Amino acid sequence: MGIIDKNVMLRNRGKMLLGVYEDEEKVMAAAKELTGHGIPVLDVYTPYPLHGLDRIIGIKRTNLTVIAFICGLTGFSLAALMIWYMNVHDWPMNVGNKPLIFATSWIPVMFESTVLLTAFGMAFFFFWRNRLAHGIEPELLDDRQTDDRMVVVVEAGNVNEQEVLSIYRKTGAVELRERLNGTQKVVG
Amino acid sequence: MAHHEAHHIEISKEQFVVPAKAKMFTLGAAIIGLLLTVVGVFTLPTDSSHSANSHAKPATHAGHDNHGAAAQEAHKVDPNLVVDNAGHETLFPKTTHKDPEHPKPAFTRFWANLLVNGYFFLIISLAALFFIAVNHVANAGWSAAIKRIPEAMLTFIPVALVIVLVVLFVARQDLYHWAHYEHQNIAKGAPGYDKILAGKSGFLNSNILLFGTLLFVSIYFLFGLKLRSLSKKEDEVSKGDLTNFRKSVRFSGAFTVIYGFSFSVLSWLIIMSVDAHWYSTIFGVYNFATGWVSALTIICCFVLYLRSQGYLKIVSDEHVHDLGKFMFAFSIFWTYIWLAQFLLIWYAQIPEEVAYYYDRFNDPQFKFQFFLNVIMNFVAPFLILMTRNNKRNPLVLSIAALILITGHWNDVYLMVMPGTIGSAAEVGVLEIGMFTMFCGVFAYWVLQALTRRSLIAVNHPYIEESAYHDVGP
Amino acid sequence: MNHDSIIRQPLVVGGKTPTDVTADISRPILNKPSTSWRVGFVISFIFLLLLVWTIGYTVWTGIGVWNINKSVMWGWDITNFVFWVGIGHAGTLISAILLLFRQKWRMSINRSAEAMTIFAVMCAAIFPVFHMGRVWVAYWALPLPNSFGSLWANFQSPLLWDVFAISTYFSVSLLFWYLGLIPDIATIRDKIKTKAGKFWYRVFSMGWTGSTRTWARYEVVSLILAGLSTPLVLSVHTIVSTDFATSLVPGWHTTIFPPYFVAGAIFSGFGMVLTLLIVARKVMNYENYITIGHLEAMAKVVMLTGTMVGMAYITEFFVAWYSGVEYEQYAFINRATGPYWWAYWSMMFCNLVSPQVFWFKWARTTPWFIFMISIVVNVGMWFERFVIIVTSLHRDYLPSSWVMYSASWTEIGIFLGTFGLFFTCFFLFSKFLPVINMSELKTILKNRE
Repeated sequence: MGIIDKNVMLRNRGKMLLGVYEDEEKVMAAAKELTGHGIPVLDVYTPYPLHGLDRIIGIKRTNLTVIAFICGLTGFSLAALMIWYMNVHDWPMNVGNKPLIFATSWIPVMFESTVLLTAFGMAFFFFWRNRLAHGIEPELLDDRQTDDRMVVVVEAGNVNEQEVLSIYRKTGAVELRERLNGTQKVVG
Repeated sequence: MAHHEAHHIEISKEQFVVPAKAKMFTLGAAIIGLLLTVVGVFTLPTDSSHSANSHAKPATHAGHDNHGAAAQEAHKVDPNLVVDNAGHETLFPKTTHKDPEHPKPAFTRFWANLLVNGYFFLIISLAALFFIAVNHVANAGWSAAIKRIPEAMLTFIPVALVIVLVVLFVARQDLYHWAHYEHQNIAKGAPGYDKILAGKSGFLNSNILLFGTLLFVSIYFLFGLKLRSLSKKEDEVSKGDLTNFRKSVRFSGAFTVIYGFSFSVLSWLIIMSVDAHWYSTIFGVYNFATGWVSALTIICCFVLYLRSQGYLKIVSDEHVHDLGKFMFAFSIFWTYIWLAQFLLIWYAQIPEEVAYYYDRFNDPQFKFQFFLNVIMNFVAPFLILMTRNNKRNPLVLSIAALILITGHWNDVYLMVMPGTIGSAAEVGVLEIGMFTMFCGVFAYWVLQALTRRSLIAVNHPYIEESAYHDVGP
Repeated sequence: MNHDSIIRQPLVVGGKTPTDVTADISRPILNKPSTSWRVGFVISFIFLLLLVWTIGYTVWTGIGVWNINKSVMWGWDITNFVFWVGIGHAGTLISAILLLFRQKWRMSINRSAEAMTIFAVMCAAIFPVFHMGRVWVAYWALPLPNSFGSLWANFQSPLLWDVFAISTYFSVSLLFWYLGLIPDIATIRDKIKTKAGKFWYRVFSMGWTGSTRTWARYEVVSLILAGLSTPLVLSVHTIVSTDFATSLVPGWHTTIFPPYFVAGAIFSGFGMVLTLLIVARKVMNYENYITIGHLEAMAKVVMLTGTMVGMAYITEFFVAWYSGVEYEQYAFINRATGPYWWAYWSMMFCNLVSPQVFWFKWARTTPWFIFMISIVVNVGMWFERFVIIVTSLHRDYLPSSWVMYSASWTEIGIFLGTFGLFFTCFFLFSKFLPVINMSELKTILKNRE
């Protein structure tokens, strides 16, 4: 589906050059160096978020906030509609002679359903966009990338492979690899 | 972080000089405001034109008979009964109408306005002091770069205190129903004896009003002066000397507790007692919220102004973004407290409590401003400040700030006016003039205070942290 | 680059690297459970059985086995409900509000505090549900078309607000917790050796790989969820407070209830977090992660919120006098000097007086002492709810309705049983999931407080 970000998928890609690191500052340096040389970085796989790395490799800020707002608005309106239908339209309920349409005592329920729909709507779109689903096979490049290793990925093809590898080497990668059709080869 | 890492940020002292334009603008606002106030006072309806009305019914109703006619009909029958719009008798005593024997001179409107503005700027200056204290106590780093602004704002405390005290001293019997009652000194059982007010006289009396206010605010101000002087000393010692900082933290802790416990009492004394029969336990928190969000907004305004003049070089969009977040978040907090008070009183419908909202919500005199209050202080900032870009945009922030400050002035107006001058209240030349004057004087005063020390607290232990501050994702 | 001020203490001590963090935190999951874990689990499970037994007895025999009566129609049940909901609040406070305020010390404790939130809300929900009496028609509380007439749920009722608030709170907290867990589950997935483990951790890790693109969005989502959870957590206890405050019962109808209940909830929640974590850090050897600095920060929060709660007690008392309403005045005098004076003064001592010891540095940096105070806080906050509910109800406007109330063994059994549920869940959690957020903690190994 169009919502999934294709960049998070590694299948059906050609040759990829991987630089494996064990230090976050070296990864940041490598990303800067690569983008500085006009080499696009496909992605960096890290066990924990590296702040600012997304900006270096040119990831646009997510629009999830817009989706969150729309979901919130939906929750708010749905709750208002529900209360209006149940307590005003279908069976007008007189409680303590309070006006039938008076939002004060509707606020709590409207608020809660706004929050509920915002949270779940946004989370749903987040999972979808990032191709996260229960039971899915993870596309791992290194079995320690969720532990203490970081993998910088550059797609071969339009780039000078030797230049990429030398930048990896220069910035302190512990291992250089090539990946083609799901199999990896250590190149240095 | 990313955009900072590329370069080193230079942290150096900055000496602020008030630009001629700013002087002209703030003093101009003060003078124009003063002129408008004078015009407003002289065009007040004179007492004589009201005298015929005053004898028949409270002067508080003069001039606006069209809306309150039904209520006043009932008022003649029984002071505790009013008739709602549909003509049903209800049991809502109108607190403002409790005092038929006490016609108020038209000049009372001037005093009431002075109370609104004096109190508004008092709680703002106090909240500025609280901002410094709470940042010390919480070990907050990001705010170190802007701490000189609240430090300057708190110097307005004595000015506001003097104004409030003058109002309380001169005009308390016109403004406060209970003070007038105290003055009448009615014996138990005599006609006009008010059991409730008599029961409160241990707290609601002129001595506690005047000396309590003086005492509390003076203590706060002494803490303010101490924190100011420690901060100034820090500029003069060598970097890394933490004595002044550690002392500041200790004084801040003490201040936070004292302020937390006594601010409620202050707000009960000065503002809640305006509606002498009414009570609300949340009132102090509500007043705190009003002052706090206004102070944050004003701090943001000064940051924007100083940056536009090329000062505060280490303050980046990140700090502005954070201040925008604060304005957004505490507008919601204010709404929460506002709603807590309104919802519970509206829901329970107990006559002695709901009278407060009856005067504000059901009275056409204040109904528009009542809704405006929620729109300006919640809906507008909520929608305007929701997005990240808007919180980083000086122009949008300034617009939101303007709405918020005016909105919270309106908030205080709504707390004071219905109980003091009731239907004689309106937002006219006097109100606009006096608010403009106060804004001008406050801005001028704070700008002057800013010149008295470096704009950057260069030796503050968190200053580097603040300079490299980043709001993150 | 790290610009943290040098006067700050390191957040994680012992010179830990990301490798160490993974190894230390995933050890209990990868290894066989320890003896202390087994013993604790069995004891908790026995209490859980007590819960099952007492609830079964209540449902089978009828709600009459509780001692609540015509005047005190809410007794231990609602006291316990508010008690447990309150305990849940610390988790959200730590993970959401402290996230917004960028208090990085939260990272060592947010996972377990959030877990606590979820288990506490589960315990809380038991009480109103079984207080309904005919629990098999509990679904009537939902806004469903009522098959016994055209009447719908009453949206003006705070009890219905509660249904929405508690269920939203539970769902959103669960989502927030799970979202935070995904990267850590992925870490376990790539470490665990057993076949079943590989399968289940793969299912729940949702194919997480740690792509920077995903991380960037993940952080935004976390931040927005935190922004949502903050008003949510305020709203939950606010709505619980409106159960009381919208009524006309003297001592209940007071406008400060919403913020005061929220402060009390955070206070009691931190009490419970301290109780749990001081034990956990010792038993699981996490002293390098949950340092004295963390305990000190939490002790400060306890002191702050305890003082706020005490401030509210005093405000209520004063305003009751100030109001001139004799019913209000009586309600408060009766609290302090009536037949339940012992509950009132226990509350005052535990909640207002005892946290003041944290003004002294020694008191807030000595684990065993903090642990004792945290127990006192838990007790005090239970008494607070008891005082509010029972002292206001046992004196009605009609003196003929004046009664006394004390719990039956069934009510006591259910309350003790919920501790069984709570701790059973917590033990399972500490065995199968990382109790400290590894991926978040790895970002601050070089940071300071």
